[in-house]
Amino acid sequence: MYTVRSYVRPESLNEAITELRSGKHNRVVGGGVFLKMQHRAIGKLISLDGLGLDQITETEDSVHIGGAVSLREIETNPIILEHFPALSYAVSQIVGVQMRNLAQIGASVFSRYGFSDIIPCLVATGAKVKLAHAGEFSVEAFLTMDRDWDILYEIIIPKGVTLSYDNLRQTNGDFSSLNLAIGKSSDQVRIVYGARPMGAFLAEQASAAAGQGKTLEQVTQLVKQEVPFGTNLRASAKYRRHLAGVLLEHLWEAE
Amino acid sequence: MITLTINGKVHQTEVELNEVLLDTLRRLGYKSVKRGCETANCGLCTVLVEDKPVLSCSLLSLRADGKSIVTLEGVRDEAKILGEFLAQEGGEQCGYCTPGLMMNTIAMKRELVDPTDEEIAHYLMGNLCRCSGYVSQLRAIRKYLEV
Ligand SMILES: Cc1cc2nc3c(=O)[nH]c(=O)nc-3n(C[C@H](O)[C@H](O)[C@H](O)COP(=O)(O)OP(=O)(O)OC[C@H]3O[C@@H](n4cnc5c(N)ncnc54)[C@H](O)[C@@H]3O)c2cc1C
Ligand code: FES
Ligand code: FES
Repeated sequence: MYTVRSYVRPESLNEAITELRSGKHNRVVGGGVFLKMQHRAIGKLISLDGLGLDQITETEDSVHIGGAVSLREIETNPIILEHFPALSYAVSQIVGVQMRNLAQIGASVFSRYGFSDIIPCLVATGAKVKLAHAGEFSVEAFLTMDRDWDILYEIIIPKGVTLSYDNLRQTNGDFSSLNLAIGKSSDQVRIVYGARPMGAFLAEQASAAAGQGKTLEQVTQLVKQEVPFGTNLRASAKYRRHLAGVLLEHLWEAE
Repeated sequence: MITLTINGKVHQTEVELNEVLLDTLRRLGYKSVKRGCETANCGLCTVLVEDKPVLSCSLLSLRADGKSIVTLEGVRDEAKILGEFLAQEGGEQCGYCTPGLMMNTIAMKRELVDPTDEEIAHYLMGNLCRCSGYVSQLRAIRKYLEV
Protein backbone atom coordinates (compact mmCIF):
# COMPACT_ATOMS: atom_id res chain seq x y z
CA MET A 1 0.00 0.00 0.00
CA TYR A 2 1.15 3.53 -0.76
CA THR A 3 1.45 6.41 1.67
CA VAL A 4 -0.12 9.82 0.96
CA ARG A 5 0.78 13.32 2.14
CA SER A 6 -2.49 15.00 1.09
CA TYR A 7 -5.72 14.17 -0.70
CA VAL A 8 -7.16 16.64 -3.16
CA ARG A 9 -10.61 16.69 -4.72
CA PRO A 10 -10.42 19.25 -7.54
CA GLU A 11 -13.54 20.83 -8.97
CA SER A 12 -12.36 21.08 -12.56
CA LEU A 13 -10.09 19.18 -14.94
CA ASN A 14 -7.86 22.27 -15.16
CA GLU A 15 -7.44 22.31 -11.41
CA ALA A 16 -6.78 18.55 -11.40
CA ILE A 17 -3.98 18.71 -13.99
CA THR A 18 -2.41 21.74 -12.29
CA GLU A 19 -2.40 19.86 -8.97
CA LEU A 20 -0.97 16.73 -10.61
CA ARG A 21 1.84 18.59 -12.31
CA SER A 22 2.77 20.56 -9.19
CA GLY A 23 5.03 17.75 -7.89
CA LYS A 24 6.63 14.60 -9.29
CA HIS A 25 5.32 12.37 -6.49
CA ASN A 26 1.70 13.35 -7.16
CA ARG A 27 -0.71 10.78 -8.58
CA VAL A 28 -4.33 10.68 -9.69
CA VAL A 29 -6.53 7.92 -8.35
CA GLY A 30 -9.07 6.24 -10.62
CA GLY A 31 -10.66 3.12 -9.12
CA GLY A 32 -7.55 2.79 -6.97
CA VAL A 33 -7.45 -0.99 -7.46
CA PHE A 34 -4.01 -1.14 -9.04
CA LEU A 35 -2.53 1.86 -7.28
CA LYS A 36 -3.27 0.16 -3.99
CA MET A 37 -0.85 -2.63 -4.76
CA GLN A 38 2.03 -0.24 -5.33
CA HIS A 39 4.37 0.66 -2.52
CA ARG A 40 5.09 4.30 -3.20
CA ALA A 41 5.23 7.52 -1.27
CA ILE A 42 2.62 9.71 -2.94
CA GLY A 43 2.63 13.46 -2.41
CA LYS A 44 -0.81 14.67 -3.45
CA LEU A 45 -3.37 12.02 -4.33
CA ILE A 46 -5.80 13.61 -6.75
CA SER A 47 -9.34 12.34 -7.04
CA LEU A 48 -11.17 12.39 -10.37
CA ASP A 49 -14.56 12.07 -8.64
CA GLY A 50 -16.98 14.91 -9.25
CA LEU A 51 -15.41 16.10 -12.53
CA GLY A 52 -18.19 14.65 -14.69
CA LEU A 53 -15.77 12.20 -16.30
CA ASP A 54 -18.05 9.25 -15.58
CA GLN A 55 -20.32 9.63 -18.63
CA ILE A 56 -20.67 7.77 -21.92
CA THR A 57 -22.24 9.86 -24.70
CA GLU A 58 -22.56 9.63 -28.48
CA THR A 59 -22.60 11.96 -31.45
CA GLU A 60 -23.57 11.07 -34.98
CA ASP A 61 -20.14 9.64 -35.78
CA SER A 62 -18.50 8.71 -32.48
CA VAL A 63 -18.87 7.37 -28.95
CA HIS A 64 -17.26 9.35 -26.10
CA ILE A 65 -16.19 7.63 -22.89
CA GLY A 66 -15.12 9.74 -19.90
CA GLY A 67 -11.84 8.77 -18.23
CA ALA A 68 -13.55 7.95 -14.92
CA VAL A 69 -16.15 5.57 -16.40
CA SER A 70 -16.02 2.23 -14.59
CA LEU A 71 -15.33 -0.98 -16.48
CA ARG A 72 -18.72 -2.31 -15.35
CA GLU A 73 -20.43 0.71 -16.91
CA ILE A 74 -18.66 -0.01 -20.20
CA GLU A 75 -19.84 -3.59 -20.00
CA THR A 76 -23.50 -2.70 -19.43
CA ASN A 77 -23.97 0.69 -21.10
CA PRO A 78 -26.61 0.67 -23.89
CA ILE A 79 -24.51 2.88 -26.23
CA ILE A 80 -21.54 0.51 -25.98
CA LEU A 81 -23.76 -2.54 -26.32
CA GLU A 82 -25.32 -1.09 -29.47
CA HIS A 83 -22.11 0.01 -31.23
CA PHE A 84 -19.30 -2.08 -29.73
CA PRO A 85 -20.69 -5.21 -28.06
CA ALA A 86 -17.25 -6.84 -28.41
CA LEU A 87 -15.74 -4.12 -26.18
CA SER A 88 -18.38 -4.88 -23.58
CA TYR A 89 -17.49 -8.57 -23.84
CA ALA A 90 -13.74 -7.91 -23.60
CA VAL A 91 -14.22 -5.86 -20.43
CA SER A 92 -16.57 -8.46 -18.93
CA GLN A 93 -13.67 -10.96 -18.88
CA ILE A 94 -11.75 -8.91 -16.30
CA VAL A 95 -11.75 -10.33 -12.73
CA GLY A 96 -15.29 -9.83 -11.37
CA VAL A 97 -18.25 -7.46 -11.14
CA GLN A 98 -17.11 -5.98 -7.81
CA MET A 99 -13.68 -5.12 -9.22
CA ARG A 100 -15.16 -3.77 -12.46
CA ASN A 101 -17.46 -1.47 -10.48
CA LEU A 102 -14.27 0.22 -9.22
CA ALA A 103 -11.63 0.05 -11.97
CA GLN A 104 -11.81 2.85 -14.53
CA ILE A 105 -11.11 3.08 -18.24
CA GLY A 106 -8.83 6.16 -18.03
CA ALA A 107 -6.44 4.38 -15.69
CA SER A 108 -6.67 1.18 -17.72
CA VAL A 109 -5.56 2.87 -20.93
CA PHE A 110 -3.14 5.42 -19.47
CA SER A 111 -1.25 2.64 -17.66
CA ARG A 112 -0.61 0.82 -20.99
CA TYR A 113 -0.62 -2.60 -19.32
CA GLY A 114 0.74 -5.28 -21.65
CA PHE A 115 -1.98 -7.69 -20.47
CA SER A 116 -4.77 -5.24 -21.32
CA ASP A 117 -7.96 -6.58 -22.88
CA ILE A 118 -9.18 -3.06 -23.55
CA ILE A 119 -6.31 -1.45 -25.45
CA PRO A 120 -6.30 -3.94 -28.39
CA CYS A 121 -10.02 -3.21 -28.88
CA LEU A 122 -9.40 0.53 -28.91
CA VAL A 123 -6.48 0.24 -31.37
CA ALA A 124 -8.61 -1.98 -33.63
CA THR A 125 -11.36 0.66 -33.76
CA GLY A 126 -8.92 3.52 -34.45
CA ALA A 127 -9.94 5.22 -31.17
CA LYS A 128 -8.36 8.41 -29.82
CA VAL A 129 -7.46 9.52 -26.32
CA LYS A 130 -7.62 13.03 -24.91
CA LEU A 131 -4.99 13.98 -22.35
CA ALA A 132 -5.41 17.08 -20.19
CA HIS A 133 -1.83 18.25 -20.70
CA ALA A 134 -0.50 16.69 -23.93
CA GLY A 135 -3.66 16.85 -26.08
CA GLU A 136 -5.32 14.38 -28.45
CA PHE A 137 -3.66 11.27 -29.94
CA SER A 138 -4.66 8.02 -31.58
CA VAL A 139 -4.43 5.20 -29.02
CA GLU A 140 -1.80 3.64 -31.26
CA ALA A 141 0.40 6.76 -31.09
CA PHE A 142 -0.22 7.09 -27.36
CA LEU A 143 1.14 3.60 -26.76
CA THR A 144 4.63 4.50 -27.94
CA MET A 145 4.97 8.17 -26.99
CA ASP A 146 6.79 9.53 -23.94
CA ARG A 147 4.25 10.03 -21.18
CA ASP A 148 4.39 13.00 -18.92
CA TRP A 149 2.33 13.62 -15.74
CA ASP A 150 -1.10 13.70 -17.34
CA ILE A 151 -4.77 12.80 -17.03
CA LEU A 152 -6.58 10.74 -19.64
CA TYR A 153 -10.02 12.34 -19.54
CA GLU A 154 -11.77 11.04 -22.65
CA ILE A 155 -11.71 8.23 -25.21
CA ILE A 156 -13.35 8.76 -28.58
CA ILE A 157 -14.30 5.71 -30.66
CA PRO A 158 -15.42 6.26 -34.25
CA LYS A 159 -18.70 4.62 -35.18
CA GLY A 160 -18.95 2.56 -38.34
CA VAL A 161 -16.32 0.06 -37.21
CA THR A 162 -17.39 -3.51 -36.55
CA LEU A 163 -15.30 -4.77 -33.66
CA SER A 164 -14.74 -8.40 -32.78
CA TYR A 165 -12.64 -9.74 -29.89
CA ASP A 166 -11.49 -13.10 -28.53
CA ASN A 167 -9.02 -14.27 -25.91
CA LEU A 168 -7.64 -17.34 -24.25
CA ARG A 169 -7.34 -17.43 -20.47
CA GLN A 170 -6.04 -20.34 -18.47
CA THR A 171 -8.78 -19.67 -15.96
CA ASN A 172 -11.51 -17.10 -15.34
CA GLY A 173 -10.15 -13.95 -13.77
CA ASP A 174 -6.59 -14.55 -14.95
CA PHE A 175 -4.88 -12.29 -17.50
CA SER A 176 -5.28 -13.30 -21.14
CA SER A 177 -2.56 -15.62 -22.41
CA LEU A 178 -3.27 -13.89 -25.71
CA ASN A 179 -6.07 -11.73 -27.02
CA LEU A 180 -7.11 -10.51 -30.44
CA ALA A 181 -9.28 -7.61 -31.58
CA ILE A 182 -10.30 -6.98 -35.17
CA GLY A 183 -11.87 -3.75 -36.38
CA LYS A 184 -13.52 -3.64 -39.81
CA SER A 185 -14.74 -0.47 -41.45
CA SER A 186 -15.76 0.28 -45.04
CA ASP A 187 -12.17 1.01 -46.07
CA GLN A 188 -9.91 -1.04 -43.79
CA VAL A 189 -9.32 -4.00 -41.48
CA ARG A 190 -7.20 -3.68 -38.30
CA ILE A 191 -5.91 -6.86 -36.68
CA VAL A 192 -4.48 -6.25 -33.19
CA TYR A 193 -2.94 -8.77 -30.80
CA GLY A 194 -2.57 -8.05 -27.07
CA ALA A 195 -1.13 -9.81 -24.00
CA ARG A 196 1.64 -11.22 -26.24
CA PRO A 197 2.64 -10.74 -23.27
CA MET A 198 3.83 -7.33 -24.47
CA GLY A 199 1.27 -4.63 -25.27
CA ALA A 200 -1.10 -4.26 -28.21
CA PHE A 201 0.44 -4.76 -31.66
CA LEU A 202 -1.27 -3.75 -34.90
CA ALA A 203 -0.39 -6.35 -37.54
CA GLU A 204 -0.18 -3.98 -40.53
CA GLN A 205 0.68 -6.45 -43.28
CA ALA A 206 -1.90 -8.98 -42.14
CA SER A 207 -4.50 -6.21 -41.81
CA ALA A 208 -3.80 -4.97 -45.33
CA ALA A 209 -4.01 -8.53 -46.70
CA ALA A 210 -7.33 -9.13 -44.93
CA GLY A 211 -8.60 -5.84 -46.38
CA GLN A 212 -7.65 -7.07 -49.87
CA GLY A 213 -9.70 -10.22 -49.38
CA LYS A 214 -6.78 -12.65 -48.94
CA THR A 215 -7.56 -16.08 -47.44
CA LEU A 216 -7.42 -16.96 -43.74
CA GLU A 217 -4.31 -19.08 -44.38
CA GLN A 218 -2.49 -16.20 -46.08
CA VAL A 219 -3.41 -13.71 -43.35
CA THR A 220 -2.44 -16.18 -40.61
CA GLN A 221 0.95 -16.67 -42.21
CA LEU A 222 1.56 -12.90 -42.24
CA VAL A 223 0.50 -12.64 -38.59
CA LYS A 224 3.02 -15.31 -37.62
CA GLN A 225 5.76 -13.52 -39.54
CA GLU A 226 5.19 -9.98 -38.35
CA VAL A 227 3.80 -10.14 -34.78
CA PRO A 228 6.45 -10.55 -32.05
CA PHE A 229 5.39 -12.97 -29.32
CA GLY A 230 7.17 -13.48 -26.01
CA THR A 231 7.33 -16.01 -23.21
CA ASN A 232 6.18 -15.59 -19.63
CA LEU A 233 4.59 -17.75 -16.92
CA ARG A 234 1.32 -18.00 -18.83
CA ALA A 235 2.56 -19.16 -22.22
CA SER A 236 5.63 -19.58 -24.39
CA ALA A 237 6.20 -17.51 -27.53
CA LYS A 238 5.75 -20.68 -29.58
CA TYR A 239 2.38 -21.43 -28.01
CA ARG A 240 1.26 -17.83 -28.45
CA ARG A 241 2.24 -17.92 -32.13
CA HIS A 242 0.10 -21.03 -32.59
CA LEU A 243 -2.74 -19.49 -30.59
CA ALA A 244 -2.63 -16.37 -32.76
CA GLY A 245 -3.84 -18.48 -35.68
CA VAL A 246 -6.52 -20.17 -33.58
CA LEU A 247 -7.97 -16.88 -32.34
CA LEU A 248 -7.89 -15.45 -35.86
CA GLU A 249 -9.76 -18.48 -37.16
CA HIS A 250 -12.41 -18.09 -34.43
CA LEU A 251 -13.08 -14.49 -35.34
CA TRP A 252 -12.87 -15.19 -39.07
CA GLU A 253 -15.48 -17.93 -38.78
CA ALA A 254 -17.71 -15.81 -36.55
CA GLU A 255 -18.22 -13.34 -39.43
CA MET B 1 -13.79 13.53 8.85
CA ILE B 2 -16.00 11.53 6.46
CA THR B 3 -19.67 10.57 6.65
CA LEU B 4 -20.78 7.04 5.81
CA THR B 5 -24.33 5.75 5.98
CA ILE B 6 -23.84 2.11 6.87
CA ASN B 7 -26.93 -0.13 6.83
CA GLY B 8 -29.01 3.03 7.26
CA LYS B 9 -27.03 4.35 10.24
CA VAL B 10 -25.00 7.55 9.81
CA HIS B 11 -21.38 7.43 11.01
CA GLN B 12 -18.90 10.29 11.08
CA THR B 13 -15.34 9.13 11.40
CA GLU B 14 -11.75 10.20 10.89
CA VAL B 15 -9.82 8.08 8.39
CA GLU B 16 -6.19 7.83 7.33
CA LEU B 17 -5.51 9.24 3.84
CA ASN B 18 -4.62 5.77 2.54
CA GLU B 19 -7.23 3.83 4.52
CA VAL B 20 -9.48 1.45 2.59
CA LEU B 21 -13.16 0.91 3.32
CA LEU B 22 -12.55 -2.63 4.61
CA ASP B 23 -10.52 -1.26 7.52
CA THR B 24 -12.94 1.56 8.27
CA LEU B 25 -15.93 -0.79 8.33
CA ARG B 26 -14.21 -3.29 10.61
CA ARG B 27 -13.05 -0.51 12.93
CA LEU B 28 -16.65 0.69 13.15
CA GLY B 29 -17.73 -2.80 14.22
CA TYR B 30 -18.96 -4.28 10.93
CA LYS B 31 -17.00 -7.48 11.39
CA SER B 32 -18.92 -9.42 8.71
CA VAL B 33 -16.62 -7.69 6.23
CA LYS B 34 -13.65 -10.03 5.90
CA ARG B 35 -10.09 -9.56 4.78
CA GLY B 36 -8.93 -12.00 2.11
CA CYS B 37 -6.32 -11.52 -0.60
CA GLU B 38 -6.35 -7.70 -0.48
CA THR B 39 -5.30 -7.76 -4.15
CA ALA B 40 -8.76 -7.55 -5.79
CA ASN B 41 -8.84 -11.24 -6.66
CA CYS B 42 -10.98 -13.15 -4.16
CA GLY B 43 -14.20 -11.13 -3.59
CA LEU B 44 -14.29 -11.90 0.15
CA CYS B 45 -14.44 -8.21 1.12
CA THR B 46 -17.53 -7.39 -1.02
CA VAL B 47 -19.94 -4.72 0.27
CA LEU B 48 -22.56 -2.66 -1.54
CA VAL B 49 -21.78 1.01 -2.14
CA GLU B 50 -24.74 2.94 -3.54
CA ASP B 51 -26.32 -0.48 -4.19
CA LYS B 52 -23.41 -1.74 -6.30
CA PRO B 53 -21.12 -4.56 -5.17
CA VAL B 54 -17.53 -3.36 -4.76
CA LEU B 55 -14.31 -4.63 -3.19
CA SER B 56 -13.92 -2.85 0.13
CA CYS B 57 -10.23 -3.85 0.20
CA SER B 58 -9.61 -1.62 -2.80
CA LEU B 59 -11.88 1.41 -2.29
CA LEU B 60 -10.28 4.35 -0.50
CA SER B 61 -12.48 5.34 2.44
CA LEU B 62 -12.16 9.01 1.44
CA ARG B 63 -13.80 8.18 -1.89
CA ALA B 64 -16.74 6.64 -0.03
CA ASP B 65 -17.46 9.91 1.80
CA GLY B 66 -21.20 10.70 1.69
CA LYS B 67 -22.08 7.27 0.28
CA SER B 68 -24.54 4.66 1.43
CA ILE B 69 -23.00 1.28 2.30
CA VAL B 70 -24.57 -2.10 2.98
CA THR B 71 -22.75 -4.93 4.74
CA LEU B 72 -23.99 -8.42 5.60
CA GLU B 73 -25.25 -7.04 8.94
CA GLY B 74 -27.70 -4.93 6.90
CA VAL B 75 -29.20 -7.85 4.94
CA ARG B 76 -29.61 -10.40 7.72
CA ASP B 77 -32.94 -11.80 6.52
CA GLU B 78 -31.76 -12.41 2.97
CA ALA B 79 -28.45 -13.79 4.24
CA LYS B 80 -30.26 -16.23 6.53
CA ILE B 81 -32.30 -17.67 3.67
CA LEU B 82 -29.28 -17.92 1.35
CA GLY B 83 -27.14 -19.35 4.17
CA GLU B 84 -29.63 -22.16 4.77
CA PHE B 85 -29.64 -23.13 1.08
CA LEU B 86 -25.83 -23.05 1.02
CA ALA B 87 -25.69 -25.33 4.06
CA GLN B 88 -28.30 -27.76 2.66
CA GLU B 89 -26.55 -28.04 -0.69
CA GLY B 90 -22.99 -28.34 0.64
CA GLY B 91 -22.13 -24.96 -0.85
CA GLU B 92 -20.45 -23.90 2.37
CA GLN B 93 -17.58 -26.08 3.45
CA CYS B 94 -14.79 -24.20 5.23
CA GLY B 95 -17.02 -21.11 4.92
CA TYR B 96 -14.17 -18.76 4.18
CA CYS B 97 -15.67 -17.39 0.95
CA THR B 98 -19.26 -17.22 2.22
CA PRO B 99 -19.57 -13.57 3.39
CA GLY B 100 -18.37 -12.19 0.05
CA LEU B 101 -20.36 -14.72 -1.95
CA MET B 102 -23.53 -13.82 -0.05
CA MET B 103 -23.10 -10.09 -0.60
CA ASN B 104 -22.49 -10.53 -4.32
CA THR B 105 -25.36 -13.02 -4.70
CA ILE B 106 -27.72 -10.59 -2.98
CA ALA B 107 -26.51 -7.82 -5.32
CA MET B 108 -27.02 -10.12 -8.30
CA LYS B 109 -30.59 -10.98 -7.25
CA ARG B 110 -31.37 -7.28 -7.18
CA GLU B 111 -29.69 -6.56 -10.51
CA LEU B 112 -30.38 -9.49 -12.85
CA VAL B 113 -33.84 -10.63 -13.89
CA ASP B 114 -34.17 -14.40 -14.23
CA PRO B 115 -30.46 -15.11 -14.87
CA THR B 116 -29.30 -18.30 -16.62
CA ASP B 117 -26.70 -20.55 -14.95
CA GLU B 118 -24.10 -19.01 -17.22
CA GLU B 119 -25.09 -15.47 -16.21
CA ILE B 120 -24.97 -16.45 -12.53
CA ALA B 121 -21.49 -17.96 -12.93
CA HIS B 122 -20.31 -14.87 -14.77
CA TYR B 123 -21.70 -12.44 -12.19
CA LEU B 124 -20.07 -14.40 -9.38
CA MET B 125 -16.76 -14.89 -11.22
CA GLY B 126 -15.02 -12.57 -8.76
CA ASN B 127 -15.88 -14.77 -5.74
CA LEU B 128 -13.29 -17.49 -5.42
CA CYS B 129 -14.01 -20.69 -3.50
CA ARG B 130 -11.36 -23.28 -2.79
CA CYS B 131 -13.71 -25.99 -1.50
CA SER B 132 -17.06 -26.25 -3.22
CA GLY B 133 -16.15 -26.59 -6.89
CA TYR B 134 -18.97 -24.04 -7.35
CA VAL B 135 -21.57 -26.63 -8.41
CA SER B 136 -23.17 -26.94 -4.97
CA GLN B 137 -23.07 -23.15 -4.59
CA LEU B 138 -24.90 -22.79 -7.90
CA ARG B 139 -27.60 -25.25 -6.74
CA ALA B 140 -28.08 -23.23 -3.55
CA ILE B 141 -28.16 -19.92 -5.39
CA ARG B 142 -30.75 -21.27 -7.87
CA LYS B 143 -33.01 -22.14 -4.91
CA TYR B 144 -32.42 -18.74 -3.33
CA LEU B 145 -33.36 -16.95 -6.57
CA GLU B 146 -36.70 -18.76 -6.57
CA VAL B 147 -37.70 -17.44 -3.10
C1 LIG C 1 -6.29 -8.46 -9.86
C2 LIG C 1 -6.37 -7.65 -11.13
C3 LIG C 1 -6.55 -8.31 -12.34
C4 LIG C 1 -6.65 -7.57 -13.53
N1 LIG C 1 -6.86 -8.23 -14.70
C5 LIG C 1 -6.97 -7.53 -15.85
C6 LIG C 1 -7.23 -8.19 -17.08
O1 LIG C 1 -7.34 -9.41 -17.16
N2 LIG C 1 -7.35 -7.43 -18.20
C7 LIG C 1 -7.23 -6.05 -18.17
O2 LIG C 1 -7.37 -5.42 -19.23
N3 LIG C 1 -7.00 -5.41 -17.01
C8 LIG C 1 -6.85 -6.10 -15.86
N4 LIG C 1 -6.59 -5.45 -14.69
C9 LIG C 1 -6.37 -3.99 -14.73
C10 LIG C 1 -7.68 -3.26 -14.48
O3 LIG C 1 -8.56 -3.50 -15.56
C11 LIG C 1 -7.46 -1.75 -14.38
O4 LIG C 1 -6.86 -1.31 -15.57
C12 LIG C 1 -6.56 -1.38 -13.22
O5 LIG C 1 -7.12 -1.86 -12.03
C13 LIG C 1 -6.39 0.14 -13.14
O6 LIG C 1 -7.62 0.75 -12.97
P1 LIG C 1 -7.95 1.57 -11.65
O7 LIG C 1 -9.12 2.44 -11.97
O8 LIG C 1 -8.03 0.67 -10.52
O9 LIG C 1 -6.62 2.49 -11.57
P2 LIG C 1 -5.82 3.11 -10.33
O10 LIG C 1 -5.34 2.04 -9.45
O11 LIG C 1 -6.62 4.21 -9.74
O12 LIG C 1 -4.62 3.76 -11.11
C14 LIG C 1 -3.64 3.01 -11.81
C15 LIG C 1 -2.60 4.01 -12.37
O13 LIG C 1 -3.20 4.87 -13.33
C16 LIG C 1 -3.11 6.26 -12.93
N5 LIG C 1 -4.38 6.86 -13.32
C17 LIG C 1 -5.61 6.61 -12.81
N6 LIG C 1 -6.57 7.26 -13.52
C18 LIG C 1 -5.92 7.95 -14.49
C19 LIG C 1 -6.35 8.81 -15.57
N7 LIG C 1 -7.64 9.05 -15.81
N8 LIG C 1 -5.40 9.37 -16.34
C20 LIG C 1 -4.07 9.12 -16.13
N9 LIG C 1 -3.61 8.29 -15.16
C21 LIG C 1 -4.52 7.71 -14.36
C22 LIG C 1 -2.87 6.21 -11.43
O14 LIG C 1 -2.17 7.36 -10.99
C23 LIG C 1 -2.03 4.94 -11.29
O15 LIG C 1 -0.71 5.21 -11.61
C24 LIG C 1 -6.50 -6.15 -13.50
C25 LIG C 1 -6.32 -5.51 -12.27
C26 LIG C 1 -6.25 -6.23 -11.10
C27 LIG C 1 -6.06 -5.49 -9.81
S1 FES D 1 -9.87 -9.14 0.07
FE1 FES D 1 -10.77 -7.84 -1.40
S2 FES D 1 -10.74 -9.05 -3.18
FE2 FES D 1 -9.73 -10.33 -1.76
S1 FES E 1 -16.29 -22.99 1.21
FE1 FES E 1 -14.15 -22.97 1.57
S2 FES E 1 -13.47 -21.36 0.26
FE2 FES E 1 -15.54 -21.57 -0.26
